[in-house]
Amino acid sequence: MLIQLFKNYFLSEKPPGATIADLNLELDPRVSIETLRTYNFTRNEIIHYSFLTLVFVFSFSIIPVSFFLVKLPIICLFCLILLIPFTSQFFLNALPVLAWVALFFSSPNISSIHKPAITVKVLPAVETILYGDNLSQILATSTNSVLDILAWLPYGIIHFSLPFIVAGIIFLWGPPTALRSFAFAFGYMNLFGVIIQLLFPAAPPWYKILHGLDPANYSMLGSPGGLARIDTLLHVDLYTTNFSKNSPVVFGAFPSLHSGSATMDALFLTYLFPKFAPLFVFYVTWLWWSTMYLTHHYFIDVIAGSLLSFVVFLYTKYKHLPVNESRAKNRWSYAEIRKLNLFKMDPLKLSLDSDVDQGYKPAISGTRTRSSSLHNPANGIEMNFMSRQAQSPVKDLQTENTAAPLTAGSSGSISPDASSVFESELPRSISRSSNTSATSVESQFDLGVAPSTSNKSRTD
Amino acid sequence: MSELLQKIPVVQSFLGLPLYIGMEVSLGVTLLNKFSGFYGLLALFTGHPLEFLQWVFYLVSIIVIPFYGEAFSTILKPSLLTFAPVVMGFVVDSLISAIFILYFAFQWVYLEDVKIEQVPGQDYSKSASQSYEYGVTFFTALGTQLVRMYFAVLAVSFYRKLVKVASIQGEVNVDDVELDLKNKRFYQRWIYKVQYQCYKFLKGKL
Repeated sequence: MLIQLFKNYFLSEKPPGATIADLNLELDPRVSIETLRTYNFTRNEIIHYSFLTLVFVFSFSIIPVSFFLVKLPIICLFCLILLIPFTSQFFLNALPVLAWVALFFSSPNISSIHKPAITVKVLPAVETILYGDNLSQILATSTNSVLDILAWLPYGIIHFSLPFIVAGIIFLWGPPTALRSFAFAFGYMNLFGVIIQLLFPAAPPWYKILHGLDPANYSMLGSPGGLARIDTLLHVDLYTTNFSKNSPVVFGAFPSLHSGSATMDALFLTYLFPKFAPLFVFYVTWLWWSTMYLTHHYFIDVIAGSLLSFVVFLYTKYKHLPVNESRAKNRWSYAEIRKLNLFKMDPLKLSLDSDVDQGYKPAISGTRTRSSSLHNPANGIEMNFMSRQAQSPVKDLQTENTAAPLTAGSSGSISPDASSVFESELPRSISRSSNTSATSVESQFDLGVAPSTSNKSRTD
Repeated sequence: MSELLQKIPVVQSFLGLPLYIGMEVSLGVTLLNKFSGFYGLLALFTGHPLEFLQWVFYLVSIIVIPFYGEAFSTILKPSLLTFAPVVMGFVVDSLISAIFILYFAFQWVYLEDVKIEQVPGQDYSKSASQSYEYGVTFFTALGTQLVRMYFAVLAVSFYRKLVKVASIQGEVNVDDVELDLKNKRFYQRWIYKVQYQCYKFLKGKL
């Protein structure tokens, strides 16, 4: 019954022969080992994996448990999960998230001798100087049970469940490989956030309420802040004990990862459903208010969290995230994915000719600049990524100058510089529908072959 | 103002990337910050009094959101009309924000800050010193001001290029565009009027 429903809804538009949306069901680790032996890592991949390995090694090294009894079995299990193609397709892409979780929960084991000094005044001072007043303090002064529940919903309930819901929505309704972009952005945002919290420990607003602006030290306990009222209201101990005694980062007010996560959720949901952007913005502002009302963050913290999210999302959007085709029904509607080319999308590129002699050279010339890696996958069309990931090295089709013949304008957030199987002006019959259409007219376009017979072929 | 606009330096790229990426970043960062206006006014519901400068600060923050929001959402299809108020806003913001920073810093130091006296027997080994606290606060405020000035330079540079592209494309003069403003909502009419005034002000100056 469920399978039939799945086939009727999700697979109804699946192009014949398309495999890009399929999961890799291979269980043999030797396939991954063989792939690894011949795989050529890019510079960015080397930096990515080296950095994450460092975080894992650091996190593991400070956990006070037996190496042979606990750490070694975990490491072996982890390696096995990464080597089995079926599990690796999830866990390999979730590494930034896992690294963040590992660092966050192991951070209490860092000796306070090695931790930086805790600031108490900086955040409230900066909040007043940049935003005109102690906004967080003002919003937390007037409390009642209704507002408590309104604040608790986004802070204590939606915040923890939404990333999983967003991930599920992206997997089902986003283009293939979009979920790994979400994992990359969400993981790195939180990882950078925790690193900043550890390097710049700062007292949250509840500290000011309890201790004023007195100097802080690491022997001080945390506090649930306004969440203690929720415990009282519900007659449970959801937060009081956890925040008082078990909080991994007590002085981690800056930046707010609640704000960062909400912003990342909102950005990816806007990417999928642009029409609902105001709703997602409302959610972020609702969560901002709740963090301040519950005395967990200053306004500067929530802004910093959102800025961190925004910057990481922009990088991911231009580097990894496939274009969300507005006419695609769901994940299985895709026969191929396209990526943005920030240089080709430049709305001011017409003025570049006159700018070259003034010093600005667009990186599409082929010379390597500090940002040249950003346009490597640009406009690239990935086909059958999953099967290739397991069986052979990734080999993207680069279509640098092939967009024009099929381009019929932009739709939504889609680049006007890339061809699409979802262009409304073109009959569906000519769209590339599978990896078997290597000699089709569309492939000629993609490979830069002049479309001399295109009109005839279209009518065929 | 026109002389000042002429003197603003022009950048050709944003950290090696096209200028529109810089505008996307600066508009996103500015938009997020301007939401502070709503929270400032929310203070009224808690019975917190607002001073005149705070009223100005919060109301202006809210008023500019539609203009910056429209520019942010049309970054791939920018028009002179949409970006004229952004340029004006960024330049004015970078000039007067220093006044707000100084005023609010004064408020903090004289109304909020307290002198810390160490209690014997307490562990202060991991407490930030007062000079560190003030130093970080000062450099954060200074850094924010410098970033605002850079954003203004980015906006002016972007607008200059936009003017050049518009002239290459033979863009229809905004003065000649007929708009059915009567059938638009009142705020859309006001947004258009402000955009048009900014465009007229910048015409020929950039």
